[in-house]
Amino acid sequence: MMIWLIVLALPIGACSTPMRSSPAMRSSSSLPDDRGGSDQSRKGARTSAYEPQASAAIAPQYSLPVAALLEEASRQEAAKDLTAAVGSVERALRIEPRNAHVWHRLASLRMKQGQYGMAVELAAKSNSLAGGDAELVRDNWRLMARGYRAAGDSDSAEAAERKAQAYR
Amino acid sequence: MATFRKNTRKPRKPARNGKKAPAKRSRTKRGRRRTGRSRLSRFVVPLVLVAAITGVYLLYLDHKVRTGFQGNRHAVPAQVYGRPLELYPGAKISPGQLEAEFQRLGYRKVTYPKRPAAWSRNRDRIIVRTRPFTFWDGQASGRYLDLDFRGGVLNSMVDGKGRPQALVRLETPKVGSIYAAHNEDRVPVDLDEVPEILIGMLISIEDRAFYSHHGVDLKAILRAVWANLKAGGVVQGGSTMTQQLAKNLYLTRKKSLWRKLNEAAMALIIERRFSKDEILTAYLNEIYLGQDGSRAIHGFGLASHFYFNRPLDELDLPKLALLVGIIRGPSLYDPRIHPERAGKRRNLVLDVLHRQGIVTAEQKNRAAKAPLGVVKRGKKGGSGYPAFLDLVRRQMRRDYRPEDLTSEGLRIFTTLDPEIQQQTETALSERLRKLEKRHRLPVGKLEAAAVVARSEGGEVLAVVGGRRAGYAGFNRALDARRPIGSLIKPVVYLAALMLPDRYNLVTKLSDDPIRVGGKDGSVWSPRNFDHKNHGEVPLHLALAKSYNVATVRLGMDVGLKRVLDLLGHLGIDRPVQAIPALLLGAVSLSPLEVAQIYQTFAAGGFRSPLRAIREVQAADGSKLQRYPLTVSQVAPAGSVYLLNRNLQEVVRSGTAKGLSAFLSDQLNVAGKTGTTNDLKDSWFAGFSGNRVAVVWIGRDDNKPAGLTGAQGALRIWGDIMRRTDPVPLDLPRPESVEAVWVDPMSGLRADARCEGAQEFPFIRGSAPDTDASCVAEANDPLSTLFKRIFK
Repeated sequence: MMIWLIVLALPIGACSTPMRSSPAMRSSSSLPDDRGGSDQSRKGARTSAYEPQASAAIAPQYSLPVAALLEEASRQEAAKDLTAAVGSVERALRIEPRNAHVWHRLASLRMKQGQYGMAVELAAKSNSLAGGDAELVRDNWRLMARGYRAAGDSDSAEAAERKAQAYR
Repeated sequence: MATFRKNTRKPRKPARNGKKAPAKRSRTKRGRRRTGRSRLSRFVVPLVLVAAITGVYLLYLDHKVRTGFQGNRHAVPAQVYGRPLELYPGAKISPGQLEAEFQRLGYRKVTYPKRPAAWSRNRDRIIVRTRPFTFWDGQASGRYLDLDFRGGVLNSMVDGKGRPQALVRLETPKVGSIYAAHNEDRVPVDLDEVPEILIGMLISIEDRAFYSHHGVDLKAILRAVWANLKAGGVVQGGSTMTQQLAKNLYLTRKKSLWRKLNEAAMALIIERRFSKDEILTAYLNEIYLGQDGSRAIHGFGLASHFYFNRPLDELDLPKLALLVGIIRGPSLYDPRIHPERAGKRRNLVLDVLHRQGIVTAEQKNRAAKAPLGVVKRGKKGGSGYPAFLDLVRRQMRRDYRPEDLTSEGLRIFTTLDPEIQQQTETALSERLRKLEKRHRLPVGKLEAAAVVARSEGGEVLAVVGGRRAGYAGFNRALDARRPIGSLIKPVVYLAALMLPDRYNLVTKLSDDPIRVGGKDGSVWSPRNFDHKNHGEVPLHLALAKSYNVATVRLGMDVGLKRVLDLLGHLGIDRPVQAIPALLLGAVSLSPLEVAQIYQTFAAGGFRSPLRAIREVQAADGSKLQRYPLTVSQVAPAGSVYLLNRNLQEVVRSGTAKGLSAFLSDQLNVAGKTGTTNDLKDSWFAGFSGNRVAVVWIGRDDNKPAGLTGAQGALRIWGDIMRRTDPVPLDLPRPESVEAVWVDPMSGLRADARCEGAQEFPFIRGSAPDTDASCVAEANDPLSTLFKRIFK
């Protein structure tokens, strides 16, 4: 039934130009709000059938210098020099300040250093820039869940885990 | 350095029984025993007195020598560096900008770089050999790089073997040093890092018997006296290097016999207390070599930077000879003021060196033909960036004692971007001049300040504290706290938008007059800037047009406490009075504090404390401290997104539309104007895709500046952005936000076919759910079907 309606609607949409940006077409995805609001996510679920397919996992994209810095960070991390690794990732962020993957990398380093509060904030920051990268968003929620748990905040940890599960 | 500490620290306690003292003391005791005989006493008593006074005085000198040596030797100012330039293919950097960076680093332009710190350019191709450099996180060796540029972008970068390089970090430019007011700036050098020929030069020119005398060279004095008598004036000095050191360390430059005696006595003490190598090192670091405003240039390390913008070990023969020549009279032979005289003096030094067999005739002749090679003088005071350094100093003081800062030789790696700093300074001073002319304002009365920072991470890139940016003085960027006027409004609106059940961008606000009663019975009735009432206005328009009355109504409805709390979360920790006038900016903040508020907006609700420092390293290269990137979410991403869209509207069609004269509409920058009563303060704060900037204009005497935010600060802001390669502001729409068509007249839900309908972002679930009449009018069976599907 629904599919039929869409098939019917598409050619009409194509000939009336403003339709391209009608609210329903624009409303992005079924992904819940990044900070709570379960009724809103339910509302999102209602429109999910008309949304474009959930984007497949996108391989992280970095420019060459950022890739070089992240490799360096991995080497430093392997050599147990986490401070230096953090420094390299921060350098990468100066070159690509809006790359959600780089923010996630920083979050995981902070997690490893035992700076849980900072790790949670950085993962939230990564999420705010992650766009449709569901896999990354899930990883960030998982990281936040671990961070909350390590910091002894089990309520927030469970909430974050539920969020992560929604992105499977 | 290390040897000095050992030698000087130990004797600190037993200072009162220095080596010379006992001898004097025993003489005085003997004198006392003989006081019984009155005849003798006539001679003895005065003698004893003189001896005692001399003894005490020598003790005093001895103490002075030791403390002086110790104090000065240890007081190594902190060295402050700017950000390193990152080179990578795709980096937005022009050959001209790279040239400017090379100049800051003291790299010399050559036809082909064979040695480090040199570069050559052929149109869009630059070849450079970098210096090795110790960064906070490790040593970088010198590199050979072949760079190719295309249209303001670094296109390719290969090494000497043609291998592509992904990323190379240039060394950090030195931007200043931090030293105590009573102290001097210095770049200390160790004996083993000084070019050997310099030592040879010093000894042959200044003190041939240096290694054999005991502080004073009688032969040299007699020689000088004879030469001076012959010439009928002072043409030659007989002071040893030790005496010169004593003079530099402890004495005034006044010429008198008493000073000469003191100098000689101290030279003798120095020679007894310290080795020749130690004295030589101290000489190299203490000798007076020039003046830079109020800053005295002491030591070869600093002088080398001051005259040649290069470390001492990179100086060639003629440059070293010039420095040695300057010793005799730094102002007389100032190579910037008297280049000819300085050149003659240098060549005289070269002649002496040749006669003594230190340089060959060929070396001498070649050196004598070389240009002086002195760089143009930088801004006075040792740093061209006093306002930024002031910020560094304050942030350092939170973690370090003042004496550590000025004496431990720390290396401070900061976030300063000299290129952006330069452009900001120029934009500010040039635009102020134009504004005074255009608005017929008294010349030279306007002052201004600006702060530029990275949106993400909050690194401060530039701080300008006044229109004469190169001069230290009142740092308005940090210390001029002025009412911020309408710059507060985005805080009020964000507080409202954080309540999506009550407010969205199209919520109707009343702009009808309002009277607010104070606790003391007073009544406040705010008015709009244009003295008009605008009736009912949608929330976004009230911000875009900066309506005062609607804002006060909104703020009172939201609650002052909410606004104040949010202000606190945005990083304003000073106490702010909870009065209704706060809603129109009756809160005094510095440009830096305002930048902190807008940084959070620019970063989508994530606050990063503004930082000027990245890392601190100890003098020995060990890591002391990092100031890491931190974020904390202080406002929901969705609400901040709505606010930022609204701030883009301010620039597109609101009070800041004048920016279109400076910046392309494609940049979509966001910002807000601010004006205070009687046009005393003119503000603009805003952000592009990568940077946040705040500009203030006003007068130091707090009289009206005569400019609104849009007439004044906005223009400087536009100039700054235009000069610094802004990135377009693309706001990623958070998951919590949806876009909905709305009929602007009624504020009700519309669809794209409604005439004049506009799409607005809403927090999901907060968009109006009642349809506007136009929706029904446009309804035909097919579109009804359509709507059911897509709504």
